[in-house]
Amino acid sequence: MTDTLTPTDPGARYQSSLHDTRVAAVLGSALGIAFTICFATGVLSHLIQQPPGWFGWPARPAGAYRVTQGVHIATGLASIPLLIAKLWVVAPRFWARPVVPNAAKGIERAMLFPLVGGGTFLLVTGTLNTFQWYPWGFFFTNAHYWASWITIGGLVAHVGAKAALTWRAVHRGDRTGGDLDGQASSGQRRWFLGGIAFGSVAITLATVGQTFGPLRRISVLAPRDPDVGPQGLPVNKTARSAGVRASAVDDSWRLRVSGKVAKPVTFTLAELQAMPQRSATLPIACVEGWSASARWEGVPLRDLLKLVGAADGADVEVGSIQSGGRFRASTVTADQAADKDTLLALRLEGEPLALDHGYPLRLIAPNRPGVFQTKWIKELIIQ
Amino acid sequence: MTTEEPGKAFWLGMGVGGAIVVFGAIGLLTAEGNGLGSFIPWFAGGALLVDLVVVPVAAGVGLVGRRLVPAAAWPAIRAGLIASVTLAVFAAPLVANLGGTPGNPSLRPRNYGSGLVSAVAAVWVVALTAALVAWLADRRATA
Repeated sequence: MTDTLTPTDPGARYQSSLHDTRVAAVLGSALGIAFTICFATGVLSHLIQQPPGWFGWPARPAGAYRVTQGVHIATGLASIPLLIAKLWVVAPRFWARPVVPNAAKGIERAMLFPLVGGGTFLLVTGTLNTFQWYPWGFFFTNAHYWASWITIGGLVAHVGAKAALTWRAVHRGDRTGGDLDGQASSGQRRWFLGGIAFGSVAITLATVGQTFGPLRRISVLAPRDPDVGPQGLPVNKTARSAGVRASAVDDSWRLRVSGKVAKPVTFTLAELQAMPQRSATLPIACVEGWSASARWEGVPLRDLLKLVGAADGADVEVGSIQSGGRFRASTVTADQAADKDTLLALRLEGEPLALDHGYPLRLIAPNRPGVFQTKWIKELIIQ
Repeated sequence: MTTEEPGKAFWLGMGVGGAIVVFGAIGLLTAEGNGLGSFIPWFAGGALLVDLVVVPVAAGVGLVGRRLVPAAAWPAIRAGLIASVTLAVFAAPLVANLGGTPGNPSLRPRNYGSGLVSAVAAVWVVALTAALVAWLADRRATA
C-alpha cells in the first residue's frame, strides 16, 4: 500500500511539489482538531436544546453558551480554507488507479465519503444558516446534527488509517522535516501553510466581531452587528415573523401562573412593574454564532415563584403568546430558576422592551441559548 | 515510498468510525424533517463540488499563476488568492442578498458589497507587500 505522496505516484504528474505527506499531515491535524471542536460544541448545544434525562446545564458561568457557540461558528468558518487546501493537497490520491487496489484500501476510500461529503455539507449548511438562507428541503437543525455524526465517524476512521503516518510525517527527526527529493522544501511548505493560515485569519477577522464586540468594526462581513437592532441589540425572531401583533400585548395582557400552585394567579403589567426589580447584564447568545450583552431589568423569577407559593425545586415552563412554532415555550430548570439573575424582564437599557424584544415581558437568564429566552410571555406553568 | 499493511489502529478506526457513521445515518433516517430527497444531493454534492470544481480550478489557477508571477513572489500571491476566494465565496450570498428574513433589519445590517471590497483590499495590501519583500530578497540573493 502506498502511503506517502511521491513523484512516482500516478497523481504526481500534477505539478506542484506541495502534494506531500507532511503538508497533508499538518493540514489534516489542524482540520481534525477544528472538526472535533465544532463537533463537541455542536453536540453540547444539541444537548442543551434537547436535553436527555441525564443531562443538566448550569446557569453559571453566565456566558458559557455564548463562548461555546461563538467558538463553534468561528472554528467552522476558519476551517473553510483548511478543508479546501487539504483536499487540493491530497487530490492526486483520489485520482490514483486502480480505485480499489485491495480490500483495506477500498474500505478506507469508502469511509472518505462521509468525511468529505459531510465536512463540506456541514460547512456550507452551517454558513448559510448564519445568513438565514435555507435553499433546501430538510430541517436544518436535525440534518446538520446527524450529518455531524456521519462526518465524525468518517474522521475517526480516517484518523485510524492515517494517525501513524501523520505522526511520522510531523515528527520526522529534524525540525525542517527534511528536504526530500521531489517533495516540497521546508520553505515552500511554510509559505503554503502560512497562506492557508492567512485565509483562516482573514475570514475570522471578517466575521468574529458578531460575537466579539471589540472587533465589530473590522468584521465587515459579519451577518450580525452586536450593536445593531431595536434598542441597540440584534433580534433573531421579530414580532412579525412570530405572528405577534401589538394588539395582543395591549392593556388586556396578563401573565398567568398555573400548574403546581394552590390556585392559578394572574398579574397585570402594572403589578409586575410595582414589584421589586433587579438589573442584570446578560448576553443573548444565538446558535448562529452571534451574541450581544445588554442590561436588563425585571422581576427575578425566583421572587415571583415565592410569591405564588411554588415549591422549591420546581421546573417552570415559560409560554409565549405565539400560537405555535418550535420555540413557543421553554423550560427553566429548578437550578436556573434559583439563579438571582434569571429575570422576567420588563426593561432593556432603561427603556420598556421593544416589541421585537418581547414586550411586555420576556425571559432573560444566564447561560441559555437565545431561542430559550422566551419572548412575549403570557404564562408560567409550574411543573 | 513506504509500504505497510494496515495495523490494529486502521481496523479499530474503521470499526469505531463505521459504527458512528451508521449511528448518524440511522439518526438521520428517523429524524423529523430529514428531507432525504434534498439531503442526499446536498451531501453528495459537497464532495462532488470539491472534486470536480474546487480542486481543478485551484490547480488551474496554480498552473497559470506560477507562469505569470515571479517564483519568489508566487507563494505570497497565492496566499492572497486563497484568502480572497474564501472571503468572496463566504460573502457571495450576502452580497447577492439571497435568503434572509424580511422585516428584520438587525440581520445582515451592513453593505456587504463594499465590505467585501474593503476586506479583499486589506488582504492584498498584506499579500502584495509580502510578495514584494520576497521578490526583492530573492533578487538580492541571486544578484
